[in-house]
Amino acid sequence: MSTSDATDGIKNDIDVMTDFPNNNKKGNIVEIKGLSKVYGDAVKVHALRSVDLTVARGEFMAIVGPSGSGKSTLLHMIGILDTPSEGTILIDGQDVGRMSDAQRSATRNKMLGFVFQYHHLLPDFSALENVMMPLLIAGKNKKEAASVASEILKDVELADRMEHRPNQLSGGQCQRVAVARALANNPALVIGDELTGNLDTRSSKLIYDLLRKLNKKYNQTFIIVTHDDKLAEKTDRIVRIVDGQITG
Amino acid sequence: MYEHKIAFRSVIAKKRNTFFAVLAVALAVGIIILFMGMISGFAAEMIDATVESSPHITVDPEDDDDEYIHLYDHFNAIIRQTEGVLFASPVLVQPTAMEHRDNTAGIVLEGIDPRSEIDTMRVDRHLLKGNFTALERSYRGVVLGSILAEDLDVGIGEKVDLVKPNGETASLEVIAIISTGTPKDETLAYARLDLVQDFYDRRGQVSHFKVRVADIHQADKIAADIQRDTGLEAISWMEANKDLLDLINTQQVVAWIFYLMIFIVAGFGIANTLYTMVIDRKKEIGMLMAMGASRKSISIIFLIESALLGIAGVLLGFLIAFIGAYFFSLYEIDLPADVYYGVSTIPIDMQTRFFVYSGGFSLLINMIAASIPAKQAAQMDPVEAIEEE
Ligand SMILES: Nc1ncnc2c1ncn2[C@@H]1O[C@H](COP(=O)(O)OP(=O)(O)O)[C@@H](O)[C@H]1O
Ligand SMILES: [Mg+2]
Repeated sequence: MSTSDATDGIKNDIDVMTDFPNNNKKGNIVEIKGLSKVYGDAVKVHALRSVDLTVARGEFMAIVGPSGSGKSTLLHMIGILDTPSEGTILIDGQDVGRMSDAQRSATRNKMLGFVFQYHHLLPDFSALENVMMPLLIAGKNKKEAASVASEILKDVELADRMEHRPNQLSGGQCQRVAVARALANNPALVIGDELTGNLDTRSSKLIYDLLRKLNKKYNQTFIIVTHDDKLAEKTDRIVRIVDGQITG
Repeated sequence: MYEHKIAFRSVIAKKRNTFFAVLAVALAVGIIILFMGMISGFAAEMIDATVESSPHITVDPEDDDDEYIHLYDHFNAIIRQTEGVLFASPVLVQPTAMEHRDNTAGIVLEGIDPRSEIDTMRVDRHLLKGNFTALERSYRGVVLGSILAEDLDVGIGEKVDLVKPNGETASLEVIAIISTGTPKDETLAYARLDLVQDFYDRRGQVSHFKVRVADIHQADKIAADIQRDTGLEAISWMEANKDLLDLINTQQVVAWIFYLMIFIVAGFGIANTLYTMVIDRKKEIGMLMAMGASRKSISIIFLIESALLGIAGVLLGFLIAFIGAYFFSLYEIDLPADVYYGVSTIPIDMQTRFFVYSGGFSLLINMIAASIPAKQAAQMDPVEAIEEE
């Protein structure tokens, strides 16, 4: 009896953190075929030209390339925030192009975590409440959301800053809250677009080490756009984009 | 429901930005409640004054050729037995001349049964001097309007003469003087019905009946019953004062058009504030969408915010209305006495339904106006919002 109780306890702990059994599935988390994006009507900008890309589950990948080469555009497509002009994107085997607006929202909430160059934290909410937000959107109750969120804030070394509002935190701290928020729903795929672009080297290294650790711990997939070659070199795989095309 | 959490927090955090929009709604609601109260108060006063100074129902002869109702006792009994009737007063009206020493005046003499007239018209409340009920015991008594008494220069206990065109006279003693506060005070004289009938050779005849009913709102129906049972022409106070009532109703329609416009202005004030909030919070909205908030949720957030602002405005408006009504009640005003008889302060008739109408209407228009920025927020492109610095 005592043995089964103990196992149950552990199981519950794991359940909270790995709500998505997807993390343990095999196969590709992202499969992109012939993806193109054209902006504008009169003057056409080919932001992406027939991109093919697969990302394996658990991969920690960097996307690099010159400014304006289409990195953000690609990331927004993978994040189901934007729609392709041509081509297909499968996220966890599901065709994003066939999803309704509501399904897209739900998939973003359950499968994806985002960190952008600007943290975009809700200014009127504390660090803890900001991290709770994706869980509340997912329909979790307040108590559960608070307990998960405080765990993650501990992981990003902000245990003593939980009640602070964004304007009471430094840029690096805000960005760590944003990372914690991206991880709150234990997403299978985390997307970061120049997420350390505004940070000093120390903060930026802290965040990368953190992401790396979490990547190992929970087998989450990370796709990170960066300018910083040193950081890129630490990842599993570097994808280079030039002029809307993958060059290697 | 995280939507209301975000809405509450933002509204509280942005109270400085929203203050004037809320105040505009509050002023609109408060002023309109006071306005409704004032219009209703004046209308009630006017209806009251009308209802009290004229009979609830007047029963006239059936055809226009005969000015008189014959065998009035018979009709009197039928009218008194009609359901809803409290009292009836038979009256014989006789325009005539009245003299006192060298003074002569043209008067409208009303021959009445004193008890019935007091019961029906409450004439004793206008008593200035003397004793109205003494008329019951005094066949040769007369009650005069105050200005008529002044014109004739006559006082209580003094004699006046009724003068017929053929020179015949009847001497009466002034036993009471009344003041109704209306122009009738210049020409009005009450004498006993039997005396007027005797002197003018109209035994068994009256000009009309005045009727008092229990519920003035039933007067139309009771008048119809009387007309059916007596064959005489019965006219309710509503019918007699149709022009006044129509005027009051028209006034109300015009007032509602103004209310609507004021609410629209205030409602769009909130919509405008909300619009600014949508623009200011573009990044937040984009991030919420990235986190999986649906477009519906985004628009719900802004609709809740609008409702919160609207409710705050409405509640503040209620407070303004209460305070305003209190100050109006303190403030004495001069109104023309012949129009607003007995009204010395602005009559504000504060009814619960005015609060309900004005609050409900304001919220409704707020929500309609707010749906525009809410929809705009929901249709925002998350990428564009997120890319913003
Ligand atoms: N909304 C848009 N409308 C028009 N052109 C756009 C838009 N977004 C991006 N672009 C263009 O697409 C190209 C790729 O942009 P982006 O993906 O942001 O590049 P990167 O992130 O690599 O700097 C650029 O030429 C950019 O100007
Ligand atoms: Mg970019």
